[in-house]
Amino acid sequence: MKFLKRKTMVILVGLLVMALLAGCTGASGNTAESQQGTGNNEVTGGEELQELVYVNFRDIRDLNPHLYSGELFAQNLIFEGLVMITEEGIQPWLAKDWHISEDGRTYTFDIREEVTFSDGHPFDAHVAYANFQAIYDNIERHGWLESIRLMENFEAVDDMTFRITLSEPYYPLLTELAVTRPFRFISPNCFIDGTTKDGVDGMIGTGKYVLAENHIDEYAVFEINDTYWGEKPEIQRIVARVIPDNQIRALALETGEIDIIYGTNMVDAETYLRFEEMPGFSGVLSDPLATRMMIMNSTDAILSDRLVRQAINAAVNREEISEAIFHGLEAPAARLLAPTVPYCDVSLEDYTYSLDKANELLENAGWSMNTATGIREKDGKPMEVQLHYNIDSVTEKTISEYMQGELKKIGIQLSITGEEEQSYRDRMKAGDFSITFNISWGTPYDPHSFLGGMRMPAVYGDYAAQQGLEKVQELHDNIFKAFIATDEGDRQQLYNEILTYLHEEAIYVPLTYERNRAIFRNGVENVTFNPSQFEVPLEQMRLR
Amino acid sequence: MKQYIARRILLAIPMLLVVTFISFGLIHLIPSDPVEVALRVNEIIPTDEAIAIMREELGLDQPFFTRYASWLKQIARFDFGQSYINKNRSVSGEILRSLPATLKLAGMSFMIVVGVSIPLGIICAVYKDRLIDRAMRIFIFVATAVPNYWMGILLIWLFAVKLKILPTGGNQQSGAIILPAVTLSLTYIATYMRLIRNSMLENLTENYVYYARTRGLKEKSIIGRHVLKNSLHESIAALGMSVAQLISGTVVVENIFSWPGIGRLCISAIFNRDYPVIQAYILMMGVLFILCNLLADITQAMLDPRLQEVK
Amino acid sequence: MIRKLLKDKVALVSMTIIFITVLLGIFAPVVAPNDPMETRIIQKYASPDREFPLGTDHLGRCQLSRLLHGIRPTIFLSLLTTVCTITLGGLVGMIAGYSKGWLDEIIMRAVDVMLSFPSQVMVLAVVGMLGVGMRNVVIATIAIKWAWYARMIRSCVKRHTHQNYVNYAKAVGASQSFIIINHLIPAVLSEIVMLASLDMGWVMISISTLSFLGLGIQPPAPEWGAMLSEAKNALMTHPTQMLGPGIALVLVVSSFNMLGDSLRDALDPKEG
Repeated sequence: MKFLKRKTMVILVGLLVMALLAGCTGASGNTAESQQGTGNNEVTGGEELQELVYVNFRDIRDLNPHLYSGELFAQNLIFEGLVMITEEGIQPWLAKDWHISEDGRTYTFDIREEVTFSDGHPFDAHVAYANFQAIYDNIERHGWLESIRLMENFEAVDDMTFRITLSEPYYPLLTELAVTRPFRFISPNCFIDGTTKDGVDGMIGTGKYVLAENHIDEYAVFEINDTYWGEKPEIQRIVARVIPDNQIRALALETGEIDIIYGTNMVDAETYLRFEEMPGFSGVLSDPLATRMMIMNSTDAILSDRLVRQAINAAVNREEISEAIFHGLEAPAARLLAPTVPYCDVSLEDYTYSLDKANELLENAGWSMNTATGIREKDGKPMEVQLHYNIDSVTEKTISEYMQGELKKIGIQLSITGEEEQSYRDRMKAGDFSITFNISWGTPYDPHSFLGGMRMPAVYGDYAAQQGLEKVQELHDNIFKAFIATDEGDRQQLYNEILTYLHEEAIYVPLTYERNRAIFRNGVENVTFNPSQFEVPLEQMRLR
Repeated sequence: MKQYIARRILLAIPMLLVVTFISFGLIHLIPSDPVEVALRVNEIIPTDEAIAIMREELGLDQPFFTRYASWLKQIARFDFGQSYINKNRSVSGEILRSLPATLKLAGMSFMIVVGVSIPLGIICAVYKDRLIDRAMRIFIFVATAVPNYWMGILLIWLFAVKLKILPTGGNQQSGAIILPAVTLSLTYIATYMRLIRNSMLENLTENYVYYARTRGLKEKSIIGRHVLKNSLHESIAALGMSVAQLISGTVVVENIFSWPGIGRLCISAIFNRDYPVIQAYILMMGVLFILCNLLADITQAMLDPRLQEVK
Repeated sequence: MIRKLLKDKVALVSMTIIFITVLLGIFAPVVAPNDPMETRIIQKYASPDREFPLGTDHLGRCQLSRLLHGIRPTIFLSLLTTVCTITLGGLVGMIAGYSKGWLDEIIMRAVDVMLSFPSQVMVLAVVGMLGVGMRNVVIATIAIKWAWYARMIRSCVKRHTHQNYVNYAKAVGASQSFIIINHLIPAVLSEIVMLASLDMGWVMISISTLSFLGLGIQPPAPEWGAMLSEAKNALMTHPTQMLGPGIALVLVVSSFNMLGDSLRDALDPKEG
């Protein structure tokens, strides 16, 4: 066959070039419509706009502050509560002051004057009442929240005074009022049929930022609230991008598409260390704040035996986990709650790593080694246990695989299954697991919110996992007694009993004391941590 | 011919019905109760009372065929109900929201596929067994052998990390579409290049080509006028089908590049067990494939009269 | 045909690659230098050395050993899937293609319906419902894929039944079973082999994609897609982790593709 003539060749090459050009024009045509949300310090009208690009692993979703399906960082930017938690304890917020009655059952709040929602609606005690009523309308959704069940009454005494009356002197009330949800205030203009339980019409709060736009699963834009009652933040605009993948997130930070990655489950130790050393980037670590742990289901056929649970606790090499998986960023945790947590300095014998002890415990429990398979057996049944982990977390998979190898050493076959956040949480709440990951709530919620949550079904996995314990009812009663005890000594005594019982029953496998972390490009300043691991103090940050 | 087309269109109608039935019925095979799922995603403790209320709210207390009939009526109005995850969002709204991004990505990929595979396919056929053909042959084999997800990540690593010239994902910056579109089109480029090449080669051995040659026609005009035309005709049906495949093929790519389209909507719905969304997605894809199939069959029948005789 | 194939260098090379890979897979426990599951977390991401010729992964497991053991699920399960799919699809396709009439019509409508769902998405949805795990992935793939073979083989049978030698056989009064066994099956079989080797690549990619997404094989079992998913988590810090399983996958899949292509060339009487 003859060669193609040059002309034909030119046409073909032309077509190729056209295709490439099409690729480029299509791409640039796309810029006009959505140029916002990129680059920092964009110049608008000669003024420099301070813009921070933050990243989250999923969409902000429904931000209704009285429900639980929105992203906390976003709810924190928009909505404010009566009081807030700081390093120094409970501080005034929309309530400028409060009084607690002698019997610890009546709380009276003085509402701050001249606070308005970003739609112009004034904030007063009546608005607070309407919000509380809306939350109360939905009481069955607040399973974890002890205070709402103890509320006998709440009322607007006058325009600027709001009063809550409890049926018991419940000491963690202020903390629960300060938590991001549900006790935050949304403009009554957003209520639907006088309540918020079936959704809200708009996301109007009193906070430092307003939600300007949300492109679902792409990015959300928060702009500064021009009518904010207090000191305004420096950053005028926060863009929260959605990048589900951990590595892509880190890449985006490296290429300058985003400014900061924040949160324990968003940055693994390797990535943290890499950015900490990389020129142009920095990393910060919080103090240890919560216990990273696994939880064993005491209703499980194999794990219902306390000896087995103790054996598993003895087979965990916490030092190695801390060193090899967390590169020393997180210290090993030898007990459920660190002695530094309030009421938790209890004398307990720490869990220690000893394969001999683990093997001995398993022998005593009647599980004998089948040398052919390397798996222990009892009554002809192999020792097989399931572990579920959350694939959206950056470290759980590694720990799971590591545990799989470690438990093999004492003859336990651990099969592991990763699930997406939502299914994983559903499974925990339903108690449909043998072993799964768990975390304490961290300061300032520990110990009470963590322990309180154990009493309630469908909060986390705790309630379901404890159902196989012999004295589960007594445990839960003790927890409640501790909350309403008015005498410090009595309260401490109750906490001692609770923590000792949980430690001996060994249904929790503490691993490390988790530390919150953030990596960011140099130029972002004042990256700090709130006492709560769930909050991101974006409003405190500054840009240089 | 007209009869065949009419028959083919009539046959598509029961198929559409079957597709709706399957997308509806599929949901009933899941192990867990959708009511409990709906309750849990809304963080309500599934008490008996709450289950009964939600069951009524979702219309799940009706018998199967009653629900199917009313569901059909609904989807005829493009109403797929509300999402379980975000009760205040309608499923059709969710789909309409993410559809443009997917269409943009698929359209861009389609342009790349057509623009690259046709010229390269022709070149390879013309220069059969020469260097460029051999090189392209290797490219084809590698491109069809590289998994989408691996290629996507390699491209990100090269262009976003090392060279820092393109963004890693999302749909906000200029050029963000390039990497996902290239990743998505790569496999199809290879497929269609091979298709066009082989089809041209096949045509080149046909009698009419010998006849044309013996008539003394120039090679250029033989290839340009006859062979190319015939080969393109044969490939058009396949290219038509590729639109549907490109749209469904976006699933993995969209997830790697955080592209906000229906592929990602579907995956997150699967992970979140947002059944109405999965249902709508499957239905839409089924309808899309049936329509593309129909078009492909009709074009093919028009081009190949032999097929009509087959009853 | 086989002789023709042996003359084709490409076919020879790809067959050699496949053959060696299969052998390595069968003898993985003998060939692999280490236990593929044994974790040594202190030695994670070790560089290649004498003990670990390809280095170690995020848990300190030997990459080479995992790669070798990974041949089993990656290739053998894909083979199993393909064989099952072909048997099912081939049977249905032959019946439809030869019987014609209403039976053909019913079967082909069923096939059309199956094919009208995007296979990738359907496999995902089915696995989502049946639950994760390799067995369900294989079942889902077979359940979706058979229709494709049924259609191909039906049209292939159709093509052959219209050819002169079959018409001739019919004309001289040969029995149906005689025609099927002596004429159709041999003619169709070679096409099936070609289709299968072309499709093997697709199946391997599909199965590894599901494992990559975490829906297929469960840890700690080694599988190439799952290994790539683990490597992806270290893309920034240890990008070389991506290479081993990725290259292996591309190599084997393209070998199957090339083999299929050569088979097609060998089958095509027009090329020679």
